Amino acid sequence: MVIDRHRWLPPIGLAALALVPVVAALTDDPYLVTIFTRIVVLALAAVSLDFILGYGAMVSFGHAAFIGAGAYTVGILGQHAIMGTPIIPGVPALTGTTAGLIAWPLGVVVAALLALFIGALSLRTRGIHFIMITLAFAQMFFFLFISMERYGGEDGIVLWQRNTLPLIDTGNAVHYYYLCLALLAACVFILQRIVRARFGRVIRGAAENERRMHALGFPVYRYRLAAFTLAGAIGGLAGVLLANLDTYVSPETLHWTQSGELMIMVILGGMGSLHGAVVGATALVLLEETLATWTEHWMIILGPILILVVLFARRGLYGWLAGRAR
Amino acid sequence: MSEGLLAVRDLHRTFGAVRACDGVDLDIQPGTLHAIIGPNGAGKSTLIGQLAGEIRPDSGHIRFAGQDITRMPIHERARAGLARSFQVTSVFPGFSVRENVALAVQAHAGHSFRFWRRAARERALNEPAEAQLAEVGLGARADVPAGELAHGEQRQLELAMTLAAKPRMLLLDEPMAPGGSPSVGAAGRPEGTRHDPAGGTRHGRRVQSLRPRDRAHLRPCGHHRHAGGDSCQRRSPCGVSRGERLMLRLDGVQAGYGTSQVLFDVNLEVAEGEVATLLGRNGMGKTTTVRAITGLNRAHSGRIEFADADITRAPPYRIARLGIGLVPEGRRIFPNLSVRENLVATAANRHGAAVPWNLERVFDLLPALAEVADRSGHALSGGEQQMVAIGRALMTNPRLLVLDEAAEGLAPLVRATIWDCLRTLKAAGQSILVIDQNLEALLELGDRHYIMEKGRIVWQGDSAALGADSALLHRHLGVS
Repeated sequence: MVIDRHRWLPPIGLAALALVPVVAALTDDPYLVTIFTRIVVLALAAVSLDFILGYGAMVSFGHAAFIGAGAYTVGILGQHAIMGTPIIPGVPALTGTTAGLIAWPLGVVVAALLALFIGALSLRTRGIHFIMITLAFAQMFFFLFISMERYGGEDGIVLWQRNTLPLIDTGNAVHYYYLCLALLAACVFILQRIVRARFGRVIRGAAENERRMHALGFPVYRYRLAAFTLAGAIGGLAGVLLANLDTYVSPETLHWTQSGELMIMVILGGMGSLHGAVVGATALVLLEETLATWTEHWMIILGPILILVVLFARRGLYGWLAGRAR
Repeated sequence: MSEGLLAVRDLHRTFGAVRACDGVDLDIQPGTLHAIIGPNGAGKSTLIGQLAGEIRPDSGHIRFAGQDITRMPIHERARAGLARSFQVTSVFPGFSVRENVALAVQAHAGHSFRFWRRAARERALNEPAEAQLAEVGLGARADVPAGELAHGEQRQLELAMTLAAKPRMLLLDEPMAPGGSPSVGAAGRPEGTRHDPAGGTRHGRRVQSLRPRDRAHLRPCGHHRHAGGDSCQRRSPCGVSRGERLMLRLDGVQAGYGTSQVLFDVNLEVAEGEVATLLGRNGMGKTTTVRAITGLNRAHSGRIEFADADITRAPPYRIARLGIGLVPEGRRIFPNLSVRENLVATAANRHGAAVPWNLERVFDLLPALAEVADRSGHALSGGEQQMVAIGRALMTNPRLLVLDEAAEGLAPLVRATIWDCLRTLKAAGQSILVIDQNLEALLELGDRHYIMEKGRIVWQGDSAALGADSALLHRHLGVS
């Protein structure tokens, strides 16, 4: 019974998400699709954070940096494409683009390289120092982009349209929603395989007993750095999708509150279960949306709810839904 | 002459003013067994730490299998075939027993950048792991989370993990589990050095005097039992004689972890001023009993009474305040506090002991502590840590002192000090419950004995009855 729930919850959740556009059409509420696209994109970012936080005990408080990297890559390429200016002044060959097949992989690669750089330095530390260093890096990029008048400064970059992809009409809200959902499902599936494979065992073992991992002969640092880079890449993909969803790149995506929100999603949904991050993202965004329609002081209600969940559902909402068995 | 498997030359290491390793030379040939012995604080762990790569030597060289490994990182040494076990058991508690050993196998099966195949289904990992588990006698426990294993079983697991790496040389840091792990030889006899407190050889430093200097302070004090052994002799073997107050009583206690039940209908009594012992092999439920008594793991059913109060569902801090002082398995002293701070941090006299314990009396009882009073907890040797744990429990002026495997993994000299200390405490009228496997010391020390087997009390009686029944000892304790 309990084990069944564990097996069936993810496909049921996926089916429910897939039905959202149908419900939106029936209730004539197109805004629903927009909200849920946002949920799916943020869930993707939360899943990537859960991969390193929940399994690897790497409390990265700077995950916003990777989302920002993905988003700004799309934004900067888009801005130059619209204005017809070269990215590096004086090199006219290097111009912007609105083609998704170029911009999206580039966004992911930029985010991965950034994660490789940040990880290489911060993973030499542990505990509170790791949290502070990742936070400091993210804030550094936040202030960097706020001061870059060339790319909108505090106003960010407004895109004229979404990136174009072959076969898929990204401008269509429903198409775009299904694209994001497919990417989320694929990432969750792949990460789940990784977590259960040899690589995942090393990551989990290092979280449980790092000293013993060294003594067994594992170069822990390399594996952690690989996991961190992968998480950064997926975070970058979420950033790419976010920028396209809003057709707007805001420096707010780099702000530490964005990192904090992702962490809340992971904890709310339940750490170390990947699906939990999806549940957490859904719950948090829906709570914000509903509470905000009642009162503008919705944070006063949201705060206590979060505290109650952390106190009474130790393994998060997903752990509570799925029962105790793992 | 050809160089040995391991060659250490002029190794030096100091910690502040302490010269922990002072020009050590060591040669180990393949296929030999070496013991590094010495009293507490002689520098044994420092030497092992340098060989394993956790401690950087100040100067000197270490060569292993023909290459200089003095500055080689830990994981590369492990890959080169230099394996170590840990003084304090070090497993992966959230992993199953099989997964623990499979991880050790994986460490030596090429790189682990393998992202797709399920490790749980890889026969290349599981089969060697299961073979190794069968060899150390844990085959039946493969699916249990390692964190739920009893302490002795964790040691067996530890050994299986170390051997799964097929090391060319094995470093064993204080491998003496009291229950006796299966022999190392059974697993192919790797060459090795064995760091084992099997004797008191001096190792460049002075042997500390560890005997209590003065017991005059510890005479029976007032409200306790009469001098002389009358009450002892009159007591029936299996119960408390009339007129003696009952300190602790367990009545039909059942307890366990999660869905697995460990204790079945445990009945146990400790009278005031008495030393009771709880004996049994590894994994029989001794520590679970202690956890039920101290509230760390609540009993499912049954009743636990202490000093006439029902403590079955009381939280641990309240039980401690009622007067149960615990000397936990694995010592658990505060590593970032000094010895003095460890002792005074929880000091109290809640029950108005006429002659309360204070720093001075603890230092009198355990003079070795006075010498290291300002050293911080993590810089202490295993024996010193154990003494701090005992002193810390005494400083709460407990009405009942509970010791869980207090002499485990300690040098004979230190072990003798611990038993001496308990003898002194007993003479002073302290009620004590000792959980251990060391029979000789306990036969003489204890008034009443309980033997545990698979979560049940299978025998109880006094020392005379226990000593007389050699068949019983053989059956339940593996003593011949």
